[in-house]
Amino acid sequence: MKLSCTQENLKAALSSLERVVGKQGTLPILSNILLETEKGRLRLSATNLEIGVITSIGAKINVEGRITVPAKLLINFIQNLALDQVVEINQSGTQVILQSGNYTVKINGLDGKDFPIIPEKGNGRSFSIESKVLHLGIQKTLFSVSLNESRPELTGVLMGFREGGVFLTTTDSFRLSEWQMRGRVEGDASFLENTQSPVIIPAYTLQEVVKVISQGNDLVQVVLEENQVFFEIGNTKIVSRLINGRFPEYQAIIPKQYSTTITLPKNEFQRALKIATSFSLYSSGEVVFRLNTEENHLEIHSQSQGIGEQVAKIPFDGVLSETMQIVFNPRYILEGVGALSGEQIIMSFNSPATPVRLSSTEDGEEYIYIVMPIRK
Amino acid sequence: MHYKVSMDTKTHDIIRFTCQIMTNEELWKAALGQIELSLSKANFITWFKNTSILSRDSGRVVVGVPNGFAKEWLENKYNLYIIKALKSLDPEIQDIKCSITPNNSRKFPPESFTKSMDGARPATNTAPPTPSGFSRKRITEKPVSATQNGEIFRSNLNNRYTFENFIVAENNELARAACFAVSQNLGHLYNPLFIYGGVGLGKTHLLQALGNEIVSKYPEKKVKYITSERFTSELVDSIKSQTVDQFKAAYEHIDLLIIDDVQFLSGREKTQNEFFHIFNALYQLNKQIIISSDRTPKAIPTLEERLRSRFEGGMIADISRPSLETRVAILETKAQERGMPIDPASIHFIAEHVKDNVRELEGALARVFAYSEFQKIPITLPLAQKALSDMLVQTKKSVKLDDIVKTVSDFYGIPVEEMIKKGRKKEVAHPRQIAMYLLRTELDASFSTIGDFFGGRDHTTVLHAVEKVTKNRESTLRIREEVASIREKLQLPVV
Repeated sequence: MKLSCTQENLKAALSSLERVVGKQGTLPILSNILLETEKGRLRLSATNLEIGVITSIGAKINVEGRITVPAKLLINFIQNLALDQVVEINQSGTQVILQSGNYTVKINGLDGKDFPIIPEKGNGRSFSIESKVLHLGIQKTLFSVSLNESRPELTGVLMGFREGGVFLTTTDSFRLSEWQMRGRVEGDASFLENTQSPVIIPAYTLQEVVKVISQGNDLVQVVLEENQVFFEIGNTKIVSRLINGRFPEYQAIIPKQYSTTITLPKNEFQRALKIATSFSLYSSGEVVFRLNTEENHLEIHSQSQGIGEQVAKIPFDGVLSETMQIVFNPRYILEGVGALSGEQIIMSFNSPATPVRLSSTEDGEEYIYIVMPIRK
Repeated sequence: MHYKVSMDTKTHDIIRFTCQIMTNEELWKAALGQIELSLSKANFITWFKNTSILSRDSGRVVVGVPNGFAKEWLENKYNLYIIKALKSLDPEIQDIKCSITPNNSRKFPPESFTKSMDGARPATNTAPPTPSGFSRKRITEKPVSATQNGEIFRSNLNNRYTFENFIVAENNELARAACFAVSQNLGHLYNPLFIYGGVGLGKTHLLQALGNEIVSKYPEKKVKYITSERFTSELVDSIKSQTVDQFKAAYEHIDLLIIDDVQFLSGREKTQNEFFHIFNALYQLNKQIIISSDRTPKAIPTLEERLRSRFEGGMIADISRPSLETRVAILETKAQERGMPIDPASIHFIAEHVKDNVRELEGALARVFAYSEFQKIPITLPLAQKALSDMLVQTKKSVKLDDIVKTVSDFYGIPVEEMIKKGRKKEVAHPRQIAMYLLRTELDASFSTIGDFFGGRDHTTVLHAVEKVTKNRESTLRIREEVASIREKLQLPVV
């Protein structure tokens, strides 16, 4: 292999592969990046066998070739080069010689033919969606996935179709978020509505997707095949397995109506929750929300034996039907508030033992975030 | 003595017969056994983990693989290995295909989400569940299964193992006596008790027997048997879900903790650290701790000094390899347990030829029984010899220098004289290097001896050859395969 390309392009390509490179796997070649020439371009691939990423950049190819190089060394070298430099890549046996300006490195690689074959999309069903829309959708939902591997189906994001649009849902069984994506969709995504098995995409796959896609108007192609999902964004392709499992029938637990709705200023609410969190951390992680019909503020209270206690009073708009005390894990409320757009947070509830919904006028009905209180 | 596998029609029939009754699972297990020999461990584990046979139909086998990567790799790179292995077990198999079936395909109970979605309480909560709203399954659905009360106090004991069916002999007398004494006086006599000995000599049997004894004698005592690997993975799970404290707390309530194969803690600093604290907490409360390993505490590499000194602080007992008499006694007991008649000459034959490992001894006996059942003839010495012939070839065979050189020469089609002669043409040099490598690794021959054999070459030449092959074996699939198949021809374990 003999080729030259710009440092800028190479660096961008490597940064989208970086996190996918296998860490301490049993197979040493997984911590390498595959470099190969293809149709006058340089193609780079990395995989940890859970997810694979392929990207290509423009390059001046003199001799075709295929070789793998340890990712760490390659990335470190390229990142430390000055901008606007041209990098020359030369292969000699299983050694790769990189040369740019005053710097030359020789890296021992491994034969390209031992590198895993990253699956390419076949003729699965597909649709395309504006990248900024997908980006927003992932941001609105990804944070509430479960980290507990004992229920794998909750460690992913459900992608479904309803009322003419694609939606994303996550839950860790303590709270749930669902975002109905509004935006340009090309192709017919309605097959998501009646697939035999639900499409549950691993959270880390979408973490990669969100890093690769821009917030622009270009389209992201989503292709679904049996147990695999492909994302194609410009010159970058991401492939991942799907999580096999039944996503919970969560529609039933979203309350149809609420007896009480109050509106709180987002800034104040966040501030109070952060203070409360620092106290609740020592005890059982509980924070009490008190709502008194006599007063027009929400009292947030937490305490820890032997540490101290905290009270915050936040004025709200709205009418209370009864005096109520609800106990929450403040982290769940805080994360939900953080994901909402706008300056005002709407909190709707029925009783201390039923799910509470957080919403905002800006996000409207497209966004559902509900939290289950702790029952006393 | 030299036994050779003779595939007469009868044995062939047996093989055919076993194929027909083999389930997909057994077939795949057997095939994996063969494939494992031709691949490096890393490759084997990476690509064959969580695979299975999904269906077998008119010569085509569908292999279930966990992801798209494995599908591509097995279909494009390893297909020949797989077909070869399957064909040797069932000659009708012609073709394989892979299909992705995620490994977590366990059945999901059709529970409604109202039941499964839980109160938003942090993990420490133990308030009584209420039947309204989201959940009634609060406690059972808590994140870390390892630290739930029900789970941690599951003793993991297999009641098949008892002191009664443990065969006492001079090789294990001490260990058995120590275990028995401990079972009579928990926590005070020998604490900790450290048992070591080779694979398949009965460490686990003793440990479990002790556990079972305590459970039956004192049902109120909390007994936990766990392998150090399992301990590590439970600890890792608890770290992930931030419940390490509960994990530790649960362990600290145990009356008898049995840790099997403790050598696997080697090199795991964090686990050793947590284990050390658990160990100390139990020790101070006079709770009994029993540890097993395949070597002495001193010989476990990268075991923290403070753990080593604590292991050595109690009683250390070893189990060594059984003598011939013990092996005969074991075989007689096992035969009696199965209620199968077997003549003394056959027992003696098996005991004489399987020396190192009680598990292999049982395996050999089972094989003789199976053989006699298939053929419907009683066990006699010739039958036992025949049944074990191929097994013994593997264990008996020791290679000689000439064998290795001849096999390499045959494999590459280069005459031995050519390899000894001077000349550095690649087609000669490569086989020569492989031969040097094998002589070094298999016979442990000195570099100068090898050099002398190959026409008085310098020892550095040999050194270079050995290093080169060692290195290339790791990086190049072709070299690995070549070495593997030569070893196979020499009937050596193909690592």
